[in-house]
Amino acid sequence: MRERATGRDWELTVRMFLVMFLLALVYFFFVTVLWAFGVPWIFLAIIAAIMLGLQYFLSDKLVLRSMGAKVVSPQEAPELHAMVDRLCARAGLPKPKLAIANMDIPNAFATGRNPKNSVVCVTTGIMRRLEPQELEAVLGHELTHIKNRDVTIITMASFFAMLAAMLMNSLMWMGLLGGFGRGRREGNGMAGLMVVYLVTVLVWIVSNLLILALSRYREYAADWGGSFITGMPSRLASALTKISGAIARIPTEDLRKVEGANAFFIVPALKGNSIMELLSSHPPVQKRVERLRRLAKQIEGI
Amino acid sequence: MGLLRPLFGQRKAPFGGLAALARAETALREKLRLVSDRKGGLSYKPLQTAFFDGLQGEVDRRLRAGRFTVWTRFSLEKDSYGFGWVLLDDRSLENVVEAVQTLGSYFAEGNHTKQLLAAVFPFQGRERQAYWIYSFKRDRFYPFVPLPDEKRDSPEELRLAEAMEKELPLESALERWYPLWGMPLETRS
Repeated sequence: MRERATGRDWELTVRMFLVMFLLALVYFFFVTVLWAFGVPWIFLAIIAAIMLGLQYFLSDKLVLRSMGAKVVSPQEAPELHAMVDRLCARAGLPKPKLAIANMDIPNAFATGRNPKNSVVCVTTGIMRRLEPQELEAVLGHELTHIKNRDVTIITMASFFAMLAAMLMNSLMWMGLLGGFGRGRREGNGMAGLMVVYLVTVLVWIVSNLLILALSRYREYAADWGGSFITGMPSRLASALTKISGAIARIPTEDLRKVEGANAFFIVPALKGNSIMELLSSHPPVQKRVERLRRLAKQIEGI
Repeated sequence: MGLLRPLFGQRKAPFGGLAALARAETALREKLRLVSDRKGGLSYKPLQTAFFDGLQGEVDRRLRAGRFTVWTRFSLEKDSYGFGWVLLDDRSLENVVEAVQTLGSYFAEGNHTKQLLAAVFPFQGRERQAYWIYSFKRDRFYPFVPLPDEKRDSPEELRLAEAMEKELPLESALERWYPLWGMPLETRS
């Protein structure tokens, strides 16, 4: 992460490192228990690493495909490109690719393993609901995710949680086939299996909770950093208010189109750093808005 | 009696929620400064059947048969989505609502309730045009305040709905407040 004099919230940074430290502690405990029971964990770790590597290198394409998003050229979306050009120049970032997903749900997200290979995607729903300045504030938030390399950080943090999940799975199979008895302590197989299994579950739950906490801090950090790029925290606050709650639920797609298509619209699972997610990977909007209002007082003098 | 109802058909008049709009006219004007254009539009999805081929004549007959026929003018239109519209124009909102109810019943008689999309009632607001959209399927109303470029003034819509909670049967699922862009409806503004 490149350090910048402005736009860095030290309290958040410290808390982030604390969470990462706790994560490491949990993993260490986990590995120790596995070691004690003689599980070939290196083998599992290699498989997990390959899968994670694939996810890491293909994440942008996977996410865009799952959203049905299309990368747009400056000719196709001149206003959006102009906005991002301005913001990138101000933030000193290479310009990411821009994509538009044709869906009514208001959302925006950034993905990609590094700033050079990033994509910022917005839905048609968010463009319809927000004023230009609010959209700019949202884009500033997403660009900060890219600048802070949040996709990489969260992917790394997910590594061990995934490993734990895989192990849990394979242990269940081993238990079913009764092949666990070849451990170090003969005759202790079933009890040992239970212990490892329970510990694995525990590790999986706790590590995911910590990842969510980490993710929430990164959201605050992106709100903060994005506000410094645009200089308009109050616009981000009003954008967040608009795309959450009642207004987001009111559709903008024509009744006749919906009736005619008769389509079942399934909300896809979102990955990457979307501005608004159902799970608690994002802090409550109210809290974010409060923080932004405070920040607005400082830098906008409102 | 209730058990026999399926055999003899529904006794209760369909689309009972519609009449609430006529009753709410005063409240709409006093609470929200919304004045009816005394117009309405009924939108339907046409099929290639005799029912829809003969619609013009039958609408004319039905509206004449009612109490307010002298005043209800109507025309049939088609929109870019391929939906049909019966556009109504009368001297009072009450008459327009009644005409929509009459036409709704006619569709129901012909087993074409499914083809009914919505009825739309335009109102002049203080700043801009507002609409109450009636869903035949749900027997409920929701507000629609369009802005230029296919945007909508959702905060205003929420305000209108909140104020009319008691007077109108409202669609509580906001996800169903579908807009109707570019209606063939002419308003008085």
